[in-house]
Amino acid sequence: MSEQHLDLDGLADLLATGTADHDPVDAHLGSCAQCRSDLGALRAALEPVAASLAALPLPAAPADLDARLTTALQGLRTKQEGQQVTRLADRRAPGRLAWLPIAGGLAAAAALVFAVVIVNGGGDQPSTGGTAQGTSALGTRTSNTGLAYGADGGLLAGELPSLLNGTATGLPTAGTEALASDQASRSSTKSSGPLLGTPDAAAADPLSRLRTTTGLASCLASLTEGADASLPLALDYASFNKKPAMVVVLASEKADKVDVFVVGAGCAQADANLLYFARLPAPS
Amino acid sequence: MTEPDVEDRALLQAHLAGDPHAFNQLVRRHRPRMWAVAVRTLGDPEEASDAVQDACLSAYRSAASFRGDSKVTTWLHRIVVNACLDRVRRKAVRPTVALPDEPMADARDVLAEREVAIAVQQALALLPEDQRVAIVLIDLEGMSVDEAAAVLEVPGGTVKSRCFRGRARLAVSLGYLRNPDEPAPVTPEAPKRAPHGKEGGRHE
Repeated sequence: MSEQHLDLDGLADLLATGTADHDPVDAHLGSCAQCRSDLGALRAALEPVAASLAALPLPAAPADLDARLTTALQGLRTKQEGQQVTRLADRRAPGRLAWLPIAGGLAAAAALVFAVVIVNGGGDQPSTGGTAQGTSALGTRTSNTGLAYGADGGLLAGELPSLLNGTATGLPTAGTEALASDQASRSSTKSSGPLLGTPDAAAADPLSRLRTTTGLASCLASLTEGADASLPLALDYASFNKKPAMVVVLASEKADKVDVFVVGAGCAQADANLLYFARLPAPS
Repeated sequence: MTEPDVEDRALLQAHLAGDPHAFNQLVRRHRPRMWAVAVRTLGDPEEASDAVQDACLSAYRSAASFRGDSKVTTWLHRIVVNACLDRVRRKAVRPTVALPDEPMADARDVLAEREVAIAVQQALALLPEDQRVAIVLIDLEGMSVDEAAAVLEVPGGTVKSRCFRGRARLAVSLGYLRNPDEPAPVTPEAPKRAPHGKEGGRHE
């Protein structure tokens, strides 16, 4: 029975393992003159290979490589710092006004003019000066327990409709579409303006992008950092310090709390455009 | 821990503590070697530039996960090698040959040396990527087997095997060795000469 001779890889492995001894031990070698000859030839051939590699010149780096790296790192740093500002509000203790130096507590909060639309509930504008009553195109009626509105019809911060049923289940996309369309229907009842999401709409209504499925989803992704696909507990469009804003209420990572975000018209996945944040006790 | 590594660790810690300039300084210290590894592995300067950029951004993002159980330079080289291999696998890029651009002394030697350099680069580009990377790190960048093994996160014996196998293939590609896997060429036999004397069976 004839033994198989060592192939190139086999010869190379012998040199790799036997280099320290300069005398690789192998049972086959002992009896095979051809393999011994091949091994010797390989060993000899590695010297000019080493010389050729040593003489290989190194291509010069492009002259702008350092500048390019600096620019790329700066871009990444700027992006990460922006995300940190957005998330900073999350770390604030509950109940404290955070992020912006808003004077006063409830007095400042009264500047918030909004009525909260409840997912699975609530829809119409609350009556001025009274407690909120709401029906929604989406379904069940909201409870108005604990609601309090100011003279201008705005819901005072810290007062949330008691019907916060937790995060909605089901397909986020479907829910988001429902939200957007609900807002669209509300918006459309006010005027027959340009189509939502178009540049003309943005001119007429700065929040028009956030009334579309895509825009709303992008904004929600920035608030949840894309980790949570569930719908918000509550959502509405409002003004904050006389600027168009959207109010989003999310389940907090803290038990029995909810996180209230007020974002500007520019809210998108890359930048939440956060105007106000509060962590409040969840309604019972 | 060597002094350069001490400085590298200090820069990394300063970066993690919020120093906006520390990471740039770290990159400037190591960019030349990162470039060398990238361009030797990929062959194409543009691809190598992109790989170095990818590596720098990846290192910036993962700086907090540096465990400190290896040298900072080992960690950076690992990221560069992975960035290069990602490019090769993602694009199925076969490394190209970058022409050497250093001036040569003698015009007669220029062509010969240039041809050799091109041949070596072509042979390198044809190697399997694991063997090519081992040769780049050890034979071209001068790393020890242990250091290369730390970069590649494989045993030292594996790195040595890859290196020797790659060198053996280079020896064949560059004509220094006949491939023992191929049959030896058969030399034609000289025609037999007709014996002197009469043909036939006449005998004296």
